[in-house]
Amino acid sequence: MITDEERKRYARQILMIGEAGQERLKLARVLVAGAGGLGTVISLYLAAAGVGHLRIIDCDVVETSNLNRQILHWSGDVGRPKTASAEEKLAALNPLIRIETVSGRIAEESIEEMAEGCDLIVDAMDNFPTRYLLNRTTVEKGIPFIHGAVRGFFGQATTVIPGKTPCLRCLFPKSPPREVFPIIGATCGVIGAIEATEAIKLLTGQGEPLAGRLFLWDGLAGSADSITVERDPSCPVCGKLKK
Amino acid sequence: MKITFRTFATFREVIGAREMELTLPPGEKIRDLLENLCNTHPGLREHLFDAAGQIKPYILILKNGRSITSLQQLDTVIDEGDVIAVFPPVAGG
Repeated sequence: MITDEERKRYARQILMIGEAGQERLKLARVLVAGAGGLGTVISLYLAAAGVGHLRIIDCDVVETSNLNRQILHWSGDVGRPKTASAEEKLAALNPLIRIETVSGRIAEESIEEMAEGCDLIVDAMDNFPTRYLLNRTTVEKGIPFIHGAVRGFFGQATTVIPGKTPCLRCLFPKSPPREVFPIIGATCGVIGAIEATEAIKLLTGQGEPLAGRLFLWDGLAGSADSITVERDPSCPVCGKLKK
Repeated sequence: MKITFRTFATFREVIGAREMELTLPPGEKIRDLLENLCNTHPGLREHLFDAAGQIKPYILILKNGRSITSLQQLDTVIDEGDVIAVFPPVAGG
């Protein structure tokens, strides 16, 4: 049941998702993997929407060069763990939800515990090796994985439903090279908001998720596209799952 | 045969079009299509191929939504009505 206070806070979205949808958000536990450019946008919108339990994982401290895009980290936060900085702002935004932070690296030996009990995982990483680990974990657990990535004015997003859609390995068999990537904060805003929208849609059962579609944002051209994508039957991660 | 060639991000800038309808001879392979496009679009080659002349491994080339890495790679034969998409995935967050 949602409370009177929640009814008032979420009034404008209850018009869309109903009290039942709001309750589904309240009961949800979502892992946001990263508290950087994408993660700060995603967690801000999920906290504001009333996702009841947010688990935010990051291993870094705030650096000055983060401040052009990582909107939960402010000038006074430089040197603090990103998880502490994010937790403080999100708790001030919405004291009705539970925010759990984990300051640590997502790795082979830690991912199982980090993902425990989550309804879905939202990708806010900055590298493909960790994304592949998150992807494999969601395939093993049979939970959705919402992928997003950015560079410069460009971004991509898709939603992986294990066994039904291509997984990240089907789509991107090889990782793009590691680099200090150029980025403008607004691109993180676009793709982070798409990912948060996907999470809310999945949790409330509304709309058509980006399942089997790769969303592509070109901020320079001001255009958005989506490509239909197919599973790879020989995928080493999800190939054995039945459709 | 007619096919659709779609480009994204930096490829769109080099090709100068979001989508092209192309008429190709039957049996043409992805390799032939890309080679011909490189010859007519200066700058495309350096975006697609590395110094050794190999296609950059992370570039996504899709035939009707499926990566050619799970088909016959550059030897994948193009069929009438195919949609071929070329896209450089990004990795930042």
